[in-house]
Amino acid sequence: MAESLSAPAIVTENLRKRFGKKVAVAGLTLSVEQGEVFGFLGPNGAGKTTAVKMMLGLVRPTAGEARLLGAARNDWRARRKVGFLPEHFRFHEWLRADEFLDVHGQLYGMPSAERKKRIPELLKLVGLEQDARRRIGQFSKGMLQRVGLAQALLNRPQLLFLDEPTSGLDPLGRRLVRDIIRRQRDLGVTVFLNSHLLSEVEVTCDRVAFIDEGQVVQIADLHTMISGDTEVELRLGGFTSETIEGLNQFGHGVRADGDRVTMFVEEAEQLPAIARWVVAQDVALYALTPRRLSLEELFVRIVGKEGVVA
Amino acid sequence: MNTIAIARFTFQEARRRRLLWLGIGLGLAFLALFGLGFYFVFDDIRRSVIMDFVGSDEQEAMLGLVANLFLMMGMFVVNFLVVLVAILTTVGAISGEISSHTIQAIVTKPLRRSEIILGKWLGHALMVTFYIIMLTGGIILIVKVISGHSPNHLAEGLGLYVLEGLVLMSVSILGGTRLSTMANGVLVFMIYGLAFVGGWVEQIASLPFVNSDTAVTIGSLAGKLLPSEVLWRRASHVMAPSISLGTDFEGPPPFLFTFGREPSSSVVLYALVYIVVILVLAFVSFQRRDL
Repeated sequence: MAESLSAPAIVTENLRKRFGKKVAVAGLTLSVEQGEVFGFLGPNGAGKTTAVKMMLGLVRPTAGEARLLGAARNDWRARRKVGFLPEHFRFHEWLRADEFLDVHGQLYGMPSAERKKRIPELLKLVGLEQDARRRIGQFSKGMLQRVGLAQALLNRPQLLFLDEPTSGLDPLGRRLVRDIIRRQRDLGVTVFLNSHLLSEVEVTCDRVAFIDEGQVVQIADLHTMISGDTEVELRLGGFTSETIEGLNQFGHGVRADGDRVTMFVEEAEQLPAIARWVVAQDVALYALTPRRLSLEELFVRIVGKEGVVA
Repeated sequence: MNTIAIARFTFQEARRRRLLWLGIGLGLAFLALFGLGFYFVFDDIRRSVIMDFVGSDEQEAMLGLVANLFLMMGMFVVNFLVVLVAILTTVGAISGEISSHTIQAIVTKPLRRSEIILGKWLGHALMVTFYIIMLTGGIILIVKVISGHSPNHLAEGLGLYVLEGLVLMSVSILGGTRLSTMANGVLVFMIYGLAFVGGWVEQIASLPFVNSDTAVTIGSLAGKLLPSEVLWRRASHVMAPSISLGTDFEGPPPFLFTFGREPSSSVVLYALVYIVVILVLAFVSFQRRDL
């Protein structure tokens, strides 16, 4: 147990999967720390779902290894602390929602008393308490996704995999998923979010990995995210053309427009250096704002261009 | 524990999807039809036999033979129903879950994949066993009540029928770990057909006036591939009454289902080992399957 608390939540080492001639995942190496909300991004067919399936033991890797909470990929016991909402959230349609959760609770090895307590809680959490006794076959796509989410939370997981959790949901449902992810993060749960809805990832994730052609192209920290060029806007008082010249040492593309100067920097460390330098020049500094790249811009920049991998 | 949970779930599924009730309902309908038919036919024969053999010792023996013939014909039909039920209910047990993706949320739970196979097997085995006992027990009871005759070695015969159902079921579950439901169904019925024809080839070839060793070998190989037909044949032999027909014949009456040589009791051991091997193959095959 001590090991599982200190080990990274997910480690993959050169994970590969080939289906016949097609390479779905080509050497995926990444590490997700416990307590992180980690986004997994990439265009369709990039190998995201196959990678998740390998981590969870649904698909056998052609090569490489994956560890969940410190345990080997094929160690079924490790999955006691893992929750999973599959991309194809298809469940047995003849079951009622409460029966469905009960069956899956049994498979988690939860005692009957605990299931009786936990299931109504979860149905309430996902907004299905009125539908507990309805058959899953009558559920809409969004309701299925909600009940699937409840299923993934049954065992109070330490590591939660969500494969496209909001694809069938309306805006309210999406907000619900967002709130659930936040709550899980507050509980210290690691969340691995596979999604192509960038706005979702942007507001929920701590870090993201960009996947293309079965490989990690880039991993970005969304809190201090300055990845590649970041546009910085300065509002200055009493600056001269020499100030503009001087700013060039911190980045490039420096342009002045009234009291506003914009430029591009490559690293976050440049920001305090710019501030110090401007103040030393006796120029009044009213504002220094890095304009965060939207995830979409970053996505297009990283995945949209060829040759970025190198 | 997980195996029991899966077995219970399998049972629950059959009940909820009305498969169980449909099977029981149609089984009872079949028994009712058999009972009515047997009642009138047997009554008719009894009257004519009494007229032909009034007071003779052979009267009872003849009626016993007729009762046994009906019993075996009933069993023959039951056998087909059991084959259908054993194969059709299990043919999609694994492949259906794979193609509908419902397997994904199950396999990622903290359990071994072999427990899923074993649980499904157990759940279906209990249902198939119940079904076999209901139908064969019904036939036996009907014949007993109407004619007063009952088969020999009832428990062994029933055990052989159950074993036949379990053999077919196991093969069908194994196929489902690799093939689609449709392909698996076709395959299992083809193998069953092969074993069925093989059994008859062996029977006929072993008759004294045919006596073809090659044909016997071919037939017995088919029986090794799938021992369903051999089990059924042994059940027919052990359950057939020994009736003395005059001086020149002792043993089971050489009728439709009991001519030819009696399969030895080693077929039971073979079938038990066969089921274990098939299940182990199913574990390995399912373990390696990408889902």
